[in-house]
Amino acid sequence: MLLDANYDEGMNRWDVHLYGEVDIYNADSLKSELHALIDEKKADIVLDCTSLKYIDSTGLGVLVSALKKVKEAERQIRIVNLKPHIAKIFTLTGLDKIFDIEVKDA
Amino acid sequence: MSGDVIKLEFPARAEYILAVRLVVSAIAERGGFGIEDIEDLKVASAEACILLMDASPETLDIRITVSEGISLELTAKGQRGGAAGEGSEEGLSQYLLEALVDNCEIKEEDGVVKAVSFTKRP
Repeated sequence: MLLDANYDEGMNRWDVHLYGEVDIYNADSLKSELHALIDEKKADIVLDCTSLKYIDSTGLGVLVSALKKVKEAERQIRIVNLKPHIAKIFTLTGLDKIFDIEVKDA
Repeated sequence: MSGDVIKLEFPARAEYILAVRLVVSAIAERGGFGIEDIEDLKVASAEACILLMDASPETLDIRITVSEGISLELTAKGQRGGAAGEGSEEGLSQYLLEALVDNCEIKEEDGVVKAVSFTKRP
């Protein structure tokens, strides 16, 4: 399992926790899970990355595709508690400009 | 460890990329690299594999040389049957690779990435 998700009805928001290492092996399954959430409820998504240890370019691609899908419904994805070494990957690829990102202190 | 060479051969499949990351990070840790450099090496080695796997090779040969830094030479060998590869993501792989390491070289043949080499100095 790469994520668990709870829908906050009052906020119309998915609270999603990502776990472990997202890489080329499991990125497709993360994509399916995120897209299923978005299909179920068109809502903002907060991705809590406290327990995310690693993400590669295929994982970043999944997040971008989820963002495109969410933005079609005029919603947003916010990424919180990113570890600094993972935040660096977002910065290097310029994805910090398209996601709302909050980095966890080292 | 200086001068040591480690040679690996992996099936070019997604399930083995975690093992590549673990091997590279373990060697870097023993080689005295700091946490941030180790994370950079993990990302760079995995992105190199992703680039090479785009054309569905059969195996990845990886040669790791420990000297003043750590140098990796990754080469795609053979060709698997079937459909297209487990592709890289819109140029992000190459971009990350070139940003995170020193002296990155990507060799292509007929538009296909066949070899990637780079060095990371502590």
